[in-house]
Amino acid sequence: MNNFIFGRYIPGESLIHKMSPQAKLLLCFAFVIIIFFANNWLTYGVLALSMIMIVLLTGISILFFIKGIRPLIWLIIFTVVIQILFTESSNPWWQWGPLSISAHSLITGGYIFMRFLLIIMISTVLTLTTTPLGIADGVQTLLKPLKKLRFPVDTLALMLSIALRFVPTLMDEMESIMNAQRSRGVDFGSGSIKQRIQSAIPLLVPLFSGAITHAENLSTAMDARGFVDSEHRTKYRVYGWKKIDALAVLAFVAIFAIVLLIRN
Amino acid sequence: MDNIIRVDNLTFEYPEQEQLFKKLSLSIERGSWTAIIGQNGSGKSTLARLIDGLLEAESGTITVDGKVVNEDNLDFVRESIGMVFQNPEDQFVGATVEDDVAFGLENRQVSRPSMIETVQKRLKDVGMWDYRESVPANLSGGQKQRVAIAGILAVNPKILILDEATSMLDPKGRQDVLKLVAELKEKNNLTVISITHDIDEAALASRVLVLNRGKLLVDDIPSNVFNDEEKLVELGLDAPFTTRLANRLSERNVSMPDKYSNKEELVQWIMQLNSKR
Repeated sequence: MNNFIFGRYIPGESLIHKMSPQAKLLLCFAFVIIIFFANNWLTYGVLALSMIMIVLLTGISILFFIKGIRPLIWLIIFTVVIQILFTESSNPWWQWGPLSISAHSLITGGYIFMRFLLIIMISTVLTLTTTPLGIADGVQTLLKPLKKLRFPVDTLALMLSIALRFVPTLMDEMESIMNAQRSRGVDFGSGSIKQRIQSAIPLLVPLFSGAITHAENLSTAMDARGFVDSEHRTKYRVYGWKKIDALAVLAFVAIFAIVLLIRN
Repeated sequence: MDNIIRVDNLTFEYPEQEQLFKKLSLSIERGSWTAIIGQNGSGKSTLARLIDGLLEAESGTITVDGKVVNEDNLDFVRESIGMVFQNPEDQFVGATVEDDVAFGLENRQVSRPSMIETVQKRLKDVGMWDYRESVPANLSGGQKQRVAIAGILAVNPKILILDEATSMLDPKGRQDVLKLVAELKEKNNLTVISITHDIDEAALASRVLVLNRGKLLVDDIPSNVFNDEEKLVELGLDAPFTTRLANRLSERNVSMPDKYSNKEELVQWIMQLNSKR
């Protein structure tokens, strides 16, 4: 669990690391949209090539990217197989009821596979090169326009950053509670599903009550430090728009233009 | 005498509990170091929270630096008083060390350039500048408390309240924090109130208040309070190690000083005894 949230970020000094989080987040979304414009091998080829360039630029070992894909491999295979079997075609090689395989269905299956791969890769680039806090800040910046609609963006951002900050604290606490309960004979992670759920209760109750105590103490401490609301505050941490961000945007515009030109 | 805090006829009780403070009055002199000791439930933390306006008194007045603690003066009171709490985890608001020190400044809408300057200065004051980018998970309890102190000093309070701030620290962390507080008190001309279970921490003060069930039982200088082992035990408190050692030795007919002595003084005394032999 800890690795799931924090082990993803790999510190580094690459150009991608140095980009501001909001630019990365924005371009990550943009790339996903560009992927949906691709509709032939040439366009997918261009995108794959760009992806390889981006991965090389991060300076992170390809093994980490493979690790990012692994948990989703069954979903990808399942979707691709469904796509191949259910794509209708005039001259199938093999047919059984509604199921068929043809040259056309294999190609669309291949496209779907590429799409998945590219989307996972670009989001893995984002999470490997950006701290969780950076991502939270990026989300905040991107949500800023919602302030006009009186959406409490700053409050949300503060909540998000406090939540992230308390994850390791609560992890530690869970560890001690688990050890304490084990020493009293609770067996975690074995037995039937019912037994497993039951063994989670002596874990969750103290964890929740601890979390509530933390929240109460934290709010007292925030009060004492002059916190009134999250709208009337200045910001210590700001992410400027850097030259490298502008360059990245230009590169993405170029990729998008090429994809638009060579798509069917 | 210039009293920075004055408590007059304070009455307070928690809902559905018996009355804690009944017409409590006391005052704290500007620039002093006062220790408040007492058992659990004696009201020492509650008193601190009432002074900081975190709790509301039923009746009576509390004055901080000339202004009455009430809804209207809350900003002034919070600006004058910095509080360090017990659990280092629960007062670390920022995602990293520097963000946390900036938190109080952000709340007061200080401009960014001056925030950057203050954060750097205060982190250097507490010796945590090298850790400015660390996340709390990678810091020890003592380091977190030092960051908390930096965050509090960043807004230039006149009064520093340590609410059992060292009770969750290891002995080394405790010593470091107390040494730092003593240093900063001199440098910034602070008034320090330390609420504590730790008699050795209380012995650093120039005045000791003993609270018991909301009543002020003792108000004296540390050496008078801590020399009376019987009285301390009667109040449910531990005598400091040096007092206990001195008493055990005098039971064995070793001549001991009749006033409270701290560790260094006692070591000196015992060494002198040895050399006389």
